[in-house]
Amino acid sequence: MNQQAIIETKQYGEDDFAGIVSDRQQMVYNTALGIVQNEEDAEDVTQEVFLKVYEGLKRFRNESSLSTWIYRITITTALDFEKQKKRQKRGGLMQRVFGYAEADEKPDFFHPGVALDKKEDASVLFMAMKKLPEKQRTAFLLHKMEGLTNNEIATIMETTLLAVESLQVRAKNNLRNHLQDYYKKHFN
Amino acid sequence: MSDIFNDKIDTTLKSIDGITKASPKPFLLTRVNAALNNTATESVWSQIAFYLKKPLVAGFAIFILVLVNIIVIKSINGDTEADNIAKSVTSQKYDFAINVSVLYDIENPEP
Repeated sequence: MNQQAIIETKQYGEDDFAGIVSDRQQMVYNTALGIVQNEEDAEDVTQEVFLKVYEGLKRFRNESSLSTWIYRITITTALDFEKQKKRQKRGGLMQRVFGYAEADEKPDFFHPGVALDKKEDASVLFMAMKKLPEKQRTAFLLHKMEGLTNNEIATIMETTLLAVESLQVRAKNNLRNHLQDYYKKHFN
Repeated sequence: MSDIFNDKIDTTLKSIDGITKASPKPFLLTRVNAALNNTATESVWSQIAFYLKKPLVAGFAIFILVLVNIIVIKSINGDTEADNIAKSVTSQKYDFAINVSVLYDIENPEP
């Protein structure tokens, strides 16, 4: 049994919390940042995730690995945060009643980990990612940003390998369509 | 023209290949611990207020209040004539003021 496996199968208590925060903060923050696409919001989500981890640590039964469990909490928390923010942004009774289409978004998120010469393109890609259905977006993000394999993604998303592969293909096709629409409108 | 689009789309799709992971600001653990302490020190009343603020709970509380009011009002209006007579007889029988005045009259006859 390697070191990672030992870490993953031990029972956790409150004393381990500091170590968990220290070891998993980048993983949580990076995943949250990919979903909420705002650094301050990602900080808030990260904090909320670790509060939930602290609360759930005593009940954690090693049915999945600790990383998998934390990934699930992160994805759920970040998606909920995003939905809540969208609701607040939309606001206004009239807009809700008449269901105005969201204004054509501009690429405004620049991920700090993207190379400088690719920042503009990446920003457009992140904007297109927002339009993907949740599952497709999650599968795509975990693969591209966290570098996880389809098997690992399938475990996190509690689905089959085949389903993840299908999600990846559909995500890419949808992204291609969204990007095509965007560039047709904005490409000079 | 479509080739230009396709090239641009391909470049865009590949733009996050080899992305470096982002890290949160320093002292995350300190902030998490502070948030945990805040949660722990929340009073019972603030927790009650938190639940009452939820529209469903607030609506249910108002519904219960209105229901209790309706029941009380109905029970008051629902008294029958016989109940009222019985009440009046009982109150006359045990009315302290009436009894005292009667006793006073007997013991102190007018000259």
